[in-house]
Formats: sequence, C-alpha cells, structure tokens
Amino acid sequence: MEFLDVPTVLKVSALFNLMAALAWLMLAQTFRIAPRAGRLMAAGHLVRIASQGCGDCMAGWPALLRQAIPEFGLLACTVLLLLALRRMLRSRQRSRDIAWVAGLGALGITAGLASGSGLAPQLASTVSVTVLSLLAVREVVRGIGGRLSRLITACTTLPFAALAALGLAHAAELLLVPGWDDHVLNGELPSPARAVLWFFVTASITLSLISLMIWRVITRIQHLTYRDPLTGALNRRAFELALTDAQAQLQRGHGFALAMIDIDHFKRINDLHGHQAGDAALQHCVRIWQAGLREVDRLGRLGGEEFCVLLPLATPAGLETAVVVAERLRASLVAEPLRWNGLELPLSASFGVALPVPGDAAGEIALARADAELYRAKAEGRNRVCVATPLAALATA
Amino acid sequence: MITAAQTQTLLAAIITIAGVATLVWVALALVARVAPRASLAMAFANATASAALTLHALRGVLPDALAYWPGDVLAVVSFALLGAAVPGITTRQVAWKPAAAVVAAAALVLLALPYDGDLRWQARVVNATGAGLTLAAGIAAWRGLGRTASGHRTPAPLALPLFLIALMMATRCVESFIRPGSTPDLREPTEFNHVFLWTALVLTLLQNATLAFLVMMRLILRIERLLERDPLTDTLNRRAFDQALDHAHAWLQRGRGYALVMIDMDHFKQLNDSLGHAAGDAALRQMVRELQPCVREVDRFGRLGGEEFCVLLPDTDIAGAALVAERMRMLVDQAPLRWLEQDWHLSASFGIAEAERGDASADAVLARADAAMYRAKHQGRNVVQA
Repeated sequence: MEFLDVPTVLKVSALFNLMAALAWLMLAQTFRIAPRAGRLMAAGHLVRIASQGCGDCMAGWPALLRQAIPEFGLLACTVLLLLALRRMLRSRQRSRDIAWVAGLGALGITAGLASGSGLAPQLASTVSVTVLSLLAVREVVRGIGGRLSRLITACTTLPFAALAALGLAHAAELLLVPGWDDHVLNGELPSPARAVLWFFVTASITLSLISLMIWRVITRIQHLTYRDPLTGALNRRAFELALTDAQAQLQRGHGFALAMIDIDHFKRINDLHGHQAGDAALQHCVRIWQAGLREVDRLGRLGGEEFCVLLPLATPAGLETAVVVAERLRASLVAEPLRWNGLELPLSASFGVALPVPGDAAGEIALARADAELYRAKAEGRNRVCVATPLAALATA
Repeated sequence: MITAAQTQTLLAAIITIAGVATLVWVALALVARVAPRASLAMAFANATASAALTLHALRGVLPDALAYWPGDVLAVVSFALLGAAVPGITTRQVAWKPAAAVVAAAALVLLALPYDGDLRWQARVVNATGAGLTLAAGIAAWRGLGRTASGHRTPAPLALPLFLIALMMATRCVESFIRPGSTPDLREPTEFNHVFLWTALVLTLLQNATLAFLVMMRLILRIERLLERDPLTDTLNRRAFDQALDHAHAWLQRGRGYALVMIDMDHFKQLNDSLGHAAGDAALRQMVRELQPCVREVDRFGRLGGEEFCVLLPDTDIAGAALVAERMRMLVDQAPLRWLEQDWHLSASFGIAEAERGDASADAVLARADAAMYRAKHQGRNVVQA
C-alpha cells in the first residue's frame, strides 16, 4: 500500500463524505424520504470529515485541539449514525442506551485529555465507538427481522460489524503495542493501509444505509399496492392472491377457514352522519379486528363494508377455532363503540364462517359458502356468527 | 509539487468508486428490480470504466497485449454504456445500436494504430470518442428529461454531469494537441493529470449519484400515483378528490366558479349479485373508459366509493355541466358491457350542481349534486338532473 499518498486518501474520503451528506440532504429536502434520518446522516458525514483530519492542514493547531477533534468527532459521528439507523428502521427503542455510551465515552475522552496522556482519549473513544457499532449491528438484525433474505441481511449488517471489529483491533493495538502515545502526540498520519481501511468502512456503512432506505421505499410501494388506503386492510386483489395461495396449501395439508364479515346497518351510519363517519367506522372496525388477529391471519376489505378474514388452522378440520376467533371479533366490536365527533355510535357486524373445499383453485366456493352463512346471520337478526356445516360432515351424514 | 503517489492514489480511488458503484447498480437491478435494464447498463459502464483504468494503471506490469489495446477499447465501451444507460432510465429503452457502432469503429481505428513509442494518437481517439458519446447522451438526456419532467422540477441539472464529462474528455484531447509536453499516461505526476483525475473522481461520483436520483424519482412518482389513484379505475381516490374539491372551493372566493357532476351507476348491486364482483369491476372500468373523453385536462375525475363517481369542472356553470353530463349519459347508455359472450346494458344517473357564493364549503355543493342525483334515480334512472 506504500504507493498510495495518505493526504490524498484523506481528501478523497472527505469528498466522499461531503457528497454523501449532500445526497442525504437532497433526499430529505426534495423527496421527503426519511427526512429526519437523512438529516442525521448528513450531519454524521460532515462530522466525519472533521474527525478524520486531513494530515498537514492541522499542523499549526494546538496539540490539545488536534487530539480532541478526531476523538470527539468519531464518537459524535457514530452516535449520529446510530440515531439515523434507529429512525430509518422505525425502531421504537428509546435512545437512552446511546446516551449512556456516548456520555461515558465523552467523559473518558475528556478525562484522558485532561491527564495529558496520548493513549487514554483514543482508548475511550475507540471503546465507545465499538460498543455503539455493536448496538448498530443488533439494530439492523432486529429491524430487518427476517423480512429480507439472509444474504442481504448479512451484507447490510457487515459494515457495522466491520466497524466494531476495527474498533476492537484498534483498542487491542493501543493496549498491546508500546509507543502509541508518541504517534498521537506528534500528530502523525495514519499508514496508507489504515486510511484506506477506514475509507472502506465509512463508504460501506453509507451504502448499507442507502440500501436500507431504498428497501423502505420499496416496502412502502408494496404496502400501497396491496392495502386498502382507507383502512390498511388488504385490498381485494391482495386478498384474492392470499386466498389462492391458501387453497394451494390446502392440498399439502395446511387448512384454513374463511370468515366473511359485514358491518350491520352501515348505510344508516353513512346516511345519518355522513361519509366521514362511515369512513371512521370502517377504520375503527379494522383497528379492533386487527388487534384480535394473529400475524398469520389475513384481513381483507372486499368492497364497501364487506370484509373477509383468512384464518390458517392448525388442523385442516379445526372449524371450532375459527368459530372462536369469529366470535371474539364480534364481541370485541360490540364492546367498543365508535367515538366520533362527541357521539358514541354502537357498531356490530355479522359473520359467516366456512371451510374451504379442495380443488377450488380461486377459493370461490369457500367465499360463496361463507357469504351464504353471512346472509343467514343477517336474516337471523344480525350481530351473530353463523357457521357452514363442513362438506365432509354432510357427506358422512 | 505533484508526486506519483498522488496520481496513483487518485487512480485507485476512481477504480474503487467505480467498482463499488458497479455492485450498487447490480443490487438495484437484481434485488430491488428498479429500472433493471438501465441499472444493469450503469453497472457495466462502471465495471468497464474500473477495468479500463485498472489496465491503464498496470501498464508495464501486465503483458502489453492485455494492458494497451483492450484497456483502450474497454474505456470506449464504458462511455458507450454510460450513454446508453442514461436515456434508458428516463424512457426504459436502452439505445445500444448507435453506441455499439461507435465502439466498433473506435476499436478498429485503435487496432490500426501501432502500440509503440508515442501513444498520443490512441489517447486522442479514446478521449474524443468518449467526449462524443457522452455529449450525445447528454443531449438525449436533456431532451428526454424535458419531456418527462413533471411541472416545477427542472431537469437541466440532471443532464449536466454528462456534459461535464464530455467537456473533461474533450479538454484532455485538446490538451494533447496544444501542449508539447503532454502525456497520455495518467500515472505521470503532471499538474494537468492531477486536476484531470480529481475532476474525473468528482464526476464519477456525481454521475452515479444523479442517475440514482433519477431512479429514486421514478419510485417516488409511483408512490405519489398510488397514493392518489383508485387502483381499480385509475380515477382519483376519495382523499385526492376531496383535496381537489377544497382547492377549487378556495378559488370560488376569488371569483372562479366550478360545477360538479355526480355519477352513480344504475342497478350496480343487481349486476354484482347476479354476475359476480368481477363483472361489477369490469362494468365500473368500462363506464370510466366511456366517460374519460368528456373529461378535460383541468377537470378532476374521482371515485367517491362503490359505484359513485364525481367530476369537478372548474370555470363551468350549470348549463355547461348539463351539456357535459348529458353527453356522458349518452356515452354510457350506448356502450354495453360485454360479459360472458353477452351484452349487458349499462346506464348511470347524473346529478349536477354549480358552486354558489354563499356555499360555506365544498360539502354543500357536493350535497346538492348528490340530492340531484337521487332525484334522477327517483325519476327512473338514466337521466340528468340539476
């Protein structure tokens, strides 16, 4: 690596950081993509430029300043990075852990600087940066949460792991190799290999964050394509796809049940209180039902006030569990009336539950049977669950 | 004083950044599936640039047969790919034929030149071809962006990096003619090389960033469209229509009136129940298709829910709205829905209303149009009522 010129490497790195900061700001301001995370990232990149130094440009500065800026800068830019990462992944975790690590690190650096040692401030900042990057690794793994393939998760996590490894190696080096004090106090340049390594880690972290952001945009598009915009339930197309999928799984022994739902007297709400009340009622129902469903259940809005839930079953003929779920959904809606504009509007819904039949690729028979039960529930006085007799039971009877 | 280490570092930096950009574009193309063909073209452009510069940097180390002619041809290929990718991102069509012809011509010319001693003519061919290709791509991008840009966003800066790259390559070509001491070797520590390499580095970053932005913009436009359109009929959804309506109502106070045409398909529930949801959907799409020619650029066509639609006509009074609604009614009436080898007659009831100065909000106008539409239903449907 001796053919490389270290000040030029540092300048290239500074240029890269500057461009990255501008790109994040542009994304935040123009496109409103992840605005807060973008601003944090931009700040992080700018701080990084200051913290890496530029070789000879700081030559005339006081030693204390030359020593303090890189250490505090590195710590600050890691903190900004981690905060941006949390925003980006919409983590609900409070930033208390970051504050603790950063506070202790800053304290260590200050104490080290005050003691006049060359080693202590570097050790403090390196250790805290290592801890923060480990937190970042955990954050990414959790945030992605198995929603991306293993390879992509690994690629996204790797830069942060590399930063942690770099920190660990540097800490070990500081402790084990004598003579580091002099390097630091004399303001010597890093070796070319070290400068290049740092540049690579910075650049790969930037890329990793950008790919996380693009992933977010793409999931948003998918969400918009598959969800009903008013209620957030699956739209009809997406529900039909899920149903076709479930029918295919039925041949392999994975059963499911359908519960068709229709809100009672919905037209009355619309006519009495206007469309906005109707919209609020739909949103209210979906919120309550979603809370009572598992993650594997699929709630779709088929149109108007008609919904359908696809309930995967542990046993193919386990109709009872589906009935229990439907009954729970019915009861929870009755228990929580809609509060709208100071009014309390009681809501209820009718349910029709049916099991699918094999060989019905698009699930039309299952939908029709559930629909028929729904009509029966309506006819029998609404706010109840009606269950279709399984075809298998009919055959044996 | 420029040292050899400085120019080598800059070369290494450009090679690295082009290499990393290659990986990013490949990921965008294959994993995220964003503009896959153009992204792949960008990936190859970066890869060939990286390879060409690597071969250039290793002249004297690698065998000459590998480092010279192939390196120069790779450089030309990289410019050609860049030129092909840029229009591809805006128009989805990668224009590779003219670029391939230029590359073939340049490769033949380079093959004819002897690779020994003075290599300035080879460098001139490479630089001039690069300048020409990027200039052509810049002009194409400028035109293409002008067409697709929506409203206020100015497209000009997005084609700028291409022009700058063309200018940079042209300068290098011209320099070799006017400065006697110029060298085609990028590793030589001359002032010109130093400035050139820094510019090249900045422009590599800039070019990749700009194109990435274009790709992002396409994603964002898709999101905006998804947010304001009804997926079934591609008319405005309720939220977007309400916004447009409020906007029009704000103009009412400033002296610009508007009228509404409320549209409700007749016997939709019957159709749905007897033929199924799919037929209902097809009927709605068919009706919207029939109505579309009556809707001007300035009008807003929205689906309020179910089988109910509304058209907002700015600068229109009740008489104008009546004309539009009557024409719409005829069009729907004349075009039956073809479903399962059979024609099903479609019709709709129309209610029209004009905004008046006394209307506190757009909801009042909407309610009048709604009431008129109900009167139309009571009159036996398939009519227009004011």
